[in-house]
Amino acid sequence: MTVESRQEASHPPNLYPEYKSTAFRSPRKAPLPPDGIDSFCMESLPLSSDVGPRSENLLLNTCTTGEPIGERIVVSGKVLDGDGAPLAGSLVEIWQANAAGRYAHKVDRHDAPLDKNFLGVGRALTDDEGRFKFYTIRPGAYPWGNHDNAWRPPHIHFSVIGNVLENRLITQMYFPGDPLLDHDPIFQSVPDRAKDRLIAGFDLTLTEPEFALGYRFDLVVRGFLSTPETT
Amino acid sequence: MPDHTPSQTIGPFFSHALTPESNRFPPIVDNRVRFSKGEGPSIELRGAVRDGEGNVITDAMVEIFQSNADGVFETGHGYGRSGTENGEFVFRTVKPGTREPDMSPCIEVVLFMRGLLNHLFTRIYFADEKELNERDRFLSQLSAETRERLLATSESDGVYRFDINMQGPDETPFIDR
Repeated sequence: MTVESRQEASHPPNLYPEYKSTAFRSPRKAPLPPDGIDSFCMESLPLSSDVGPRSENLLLNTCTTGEPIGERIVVSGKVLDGDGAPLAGSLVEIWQANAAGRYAHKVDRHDAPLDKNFLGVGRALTDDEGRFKFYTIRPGAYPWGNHDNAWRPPHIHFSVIGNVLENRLITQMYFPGDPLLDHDPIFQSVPDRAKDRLIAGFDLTLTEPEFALGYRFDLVVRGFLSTPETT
Repeated sequence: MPDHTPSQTIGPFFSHALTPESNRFPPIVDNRVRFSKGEGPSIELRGAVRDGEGNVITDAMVEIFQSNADGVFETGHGYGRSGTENGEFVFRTVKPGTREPDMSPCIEVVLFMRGLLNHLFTRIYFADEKELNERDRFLSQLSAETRERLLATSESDGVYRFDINMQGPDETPFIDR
């Protein structure tokens, strides 16, 4: 079984000078071709019982005294391969800032309040249709030191572990109509034709009346090839 | 035909989600790699990750995937994650076995950090497996210099070191999987 090739045209380059940290951290040599390396199947992961309805609900999973502050949102989508086939049993982990734009992480020193009811972390396993669904709070934008007056657009970090090592993915989900996207080097590093795929779609059918706005966000990863690729 | 979702950096604030240490959000995987079968002595695998200026990187995440000591890839096992907050990544695992005549024991590695827009793949082989390394189907077609950089060396009894250099003359080879 061969795995779909990595679509170079969909991903950012390793060195992107506007994102300053890439200067000393991006590798400079061309990578080695994977000759003699088979794809690495991962049918399931060593998971404890800590993945389920509670871990998918960031409104509840780390509350101490009440509900977190902010706009409730539903974030749902599917993990799919390049042919549109669902990847069931994929591990999706998310993390994000709170409504004020502060991470519950000791390194974040931004002067915005922490929310004792919101750690901002979640995990889910996709169902037979490749679907996941999180309840969370819309994250705030936050300043960072990349350049003068730099702000990260509101975003949710996603980590996906599929069924093979090659479809491991880490990415960020952004929100539609956000004026900060034009100014964010991390988002801008993505080739133009692929940028749209990182922006969640507002979805009235996912929106729960009187409760939460709904956003749809699919993750398309490398899958197995049924027929050899033509190059 | 849908097109692939682009990669973005992991950023600096992931450890409370991906490598948590508290009960508030219990981890589902940590730096102790678990197996259900296979007998093999426990080893410690550690290393520092350095940037192009030689500075130790303390906000990286390393994931490893490997077979058990008998060379069998166990579904749901053989996986570990480690941060580098204390200056190095550290794993408690076993030295993987091998079942193919042209495969030397190796550990699959995935590397993530702020400043990397795409995660990177590499492999850790073992310097004390000279004979098997010479026959390995991947290692054997690399130059001697490149091969050297994929070898973990024995630091002391049961402790192996594999340092990762992002740039410079000792840049670690990454693999285009």
